[in-house]
Amino acid sequence: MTVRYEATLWQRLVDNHLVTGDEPARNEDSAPWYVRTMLGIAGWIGALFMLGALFSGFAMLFDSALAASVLGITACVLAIAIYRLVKNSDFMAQFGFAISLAGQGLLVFSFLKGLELFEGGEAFISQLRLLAAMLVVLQIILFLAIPNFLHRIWSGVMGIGAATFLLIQLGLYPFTAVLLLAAAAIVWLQELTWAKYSSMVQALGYSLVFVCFAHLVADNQVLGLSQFWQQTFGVTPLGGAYGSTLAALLLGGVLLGVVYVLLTRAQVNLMSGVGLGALALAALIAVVGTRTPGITIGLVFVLLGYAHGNKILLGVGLLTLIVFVSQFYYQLNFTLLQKSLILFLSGLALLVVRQLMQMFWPKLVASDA
Amino acid sequence: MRNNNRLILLEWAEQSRVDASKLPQAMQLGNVTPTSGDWRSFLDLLLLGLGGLLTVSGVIFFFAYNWDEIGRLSRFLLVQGLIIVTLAGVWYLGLEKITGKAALLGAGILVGVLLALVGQTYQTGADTYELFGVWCVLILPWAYLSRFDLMWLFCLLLLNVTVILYYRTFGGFFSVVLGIEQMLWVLFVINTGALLIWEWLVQTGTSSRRSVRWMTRLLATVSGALMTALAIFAVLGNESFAMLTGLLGWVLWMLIAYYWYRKVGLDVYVLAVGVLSLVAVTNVILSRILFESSSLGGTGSFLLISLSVISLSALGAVWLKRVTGEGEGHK
Repeated sequence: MTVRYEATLWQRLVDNHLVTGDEPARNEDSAPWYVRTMLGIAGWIGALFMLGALFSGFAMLFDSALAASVLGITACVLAIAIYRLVKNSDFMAQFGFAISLAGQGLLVFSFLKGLELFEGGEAFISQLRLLAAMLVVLQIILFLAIPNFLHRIWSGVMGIGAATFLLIQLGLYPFTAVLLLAAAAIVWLQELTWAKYSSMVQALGYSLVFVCFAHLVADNQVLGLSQFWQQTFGVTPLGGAYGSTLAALLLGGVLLGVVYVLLTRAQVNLMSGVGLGALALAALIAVVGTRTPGITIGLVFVLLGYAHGNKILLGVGLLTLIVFVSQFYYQLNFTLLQKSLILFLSGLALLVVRQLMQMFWPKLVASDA
Repeated sequence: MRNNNRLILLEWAEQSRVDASKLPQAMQLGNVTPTSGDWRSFLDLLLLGLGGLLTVSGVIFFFAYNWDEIGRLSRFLLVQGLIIVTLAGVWYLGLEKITGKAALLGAGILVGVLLALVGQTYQTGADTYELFGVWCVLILPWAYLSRFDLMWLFCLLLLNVTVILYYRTFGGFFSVVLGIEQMLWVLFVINTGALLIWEWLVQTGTSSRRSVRWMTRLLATVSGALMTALAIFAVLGNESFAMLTGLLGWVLWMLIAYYWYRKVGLDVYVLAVGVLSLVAVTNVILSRILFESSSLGGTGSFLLISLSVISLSALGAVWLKRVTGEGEGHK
């Protein structure tokens, strides 16, 4: 007979007087991340075919924005009803996901049609902003109303993505990365305090991380999106020439803040060798990060992931570091010589710090661990 | 670091069965949050990995800059000098330590920089795929000596790039004669071969499955994705021989993967890859049948495929959750 590890863990908590009573039943929405990913991909494909069925069955949807929006709202309400009324059914959850995505697709289509975005014109940019605002509102409603992790991740990513677009339109472009990173850091650092709303907090945390990652990748892909936003949308970045420098410093500030909180939680004296060393290392990386923001962002994810025993967050952090370095090659803000010096010297500095750590903070003996 | 315990504790806290104020202590008891010793080891590895990555990237970027003010001789001396210094580091540190292994990987990457420099300086006329192929062959003995997973993975990556660049170079000829399927088959054979060797090493006890499970998962994902793509090409194509081999290969892959990762060494991740592959291939077959026969019309066909995707994936999830539950019982 095997003993489930939940039972072992519960017993350990009981023995340490942290809990009382019988072991609680597991939630049905607790599949591993890869099963959820598989469901997400399949649900997305299912929704595309469902949209195909709707558009081929109701030709009037192509002509009438009102019909498309009514059907879209109906589909979203139906999805909310499915998720709230039918519990513990994987089929209905997957069906609800596809229905919801199809409904959202219809609503977006109706907005595009209603605002005559397909025709282009001078009002195109302001209409696009209106569409983004609609998406933010819609995704907030769905995020709160649908109690499903996979759907909340979807709503979180779409809603935060649209909100980021709106912030950029307000001229906050240089600061959007730091705002996303700071929000992600706050949410993950408060994960245990807000544990009563854990499923929402986690979905929000992952959504912020994914959008932050996507923002970084998109920013690196071309000559800084700043130029794109200025030329295409006529957005003037806040802070002018100093805005990006200030944002880069604030990004380092987020890293320092995270290190400070983690040290305080681990009850490490900030004036001790370990405390000062950790803060100095974070400051060093923050300085390097003013030129290479991906390193700061990746490291914040790595530290938060490791501190909370969250392997997914840790993995995303490591991926961010690797993707950033490979994309940094194509960034045109610096010459290859400047980039090589930045990377080589920072790498060397980190290796030196590691050697210093070996000397001043030797490996602990078993009793210390 | 127990990810499962973390999720369970958060779930219990959400159900108000564990008080939020006691959660940090519960996380420690569940081995979720790291101890100071864990932090020390983690920072050691992180600084080594990140420092190594940035340093080697800096060297690659430097030679890509092709600085005119540095003469040919100086460039060669510089890169060869770096290789020698790195190898001296390997000799000093020894290959038993992770630092020694990482240094050898760094030297392996620098060999590629040297080869690129040769091509850049002497304009040898060699194709790019040759550079990657020679690079892979040259560092294979080091990979063997290092017994380092990342080094083997790097060699495999170089081999994959070589094949892709080869087919890109001769794409015109091969795309007419055999199409993209031949390249996918070659990549499938290479990556599945690597997966088989890896599993053999795990079975013989040379490598531990639990300690480097990500390697199994990465290789199985690549192998499964290639086989799925081949099966989809086979279904969508019109050649009966290609259809037969593609589908037969896919069925075989699915059966072997099911047997191995369900019965021999349980890995639900690989089974999830299999489920997604099953959903994809089954629905491509269904789409072809429905849209070619046009018996149901566009609306009916789209709706049926949508329901089929949803049902199959939901059934797959039910099965995967059950298998996960069985696996957890044995931990």
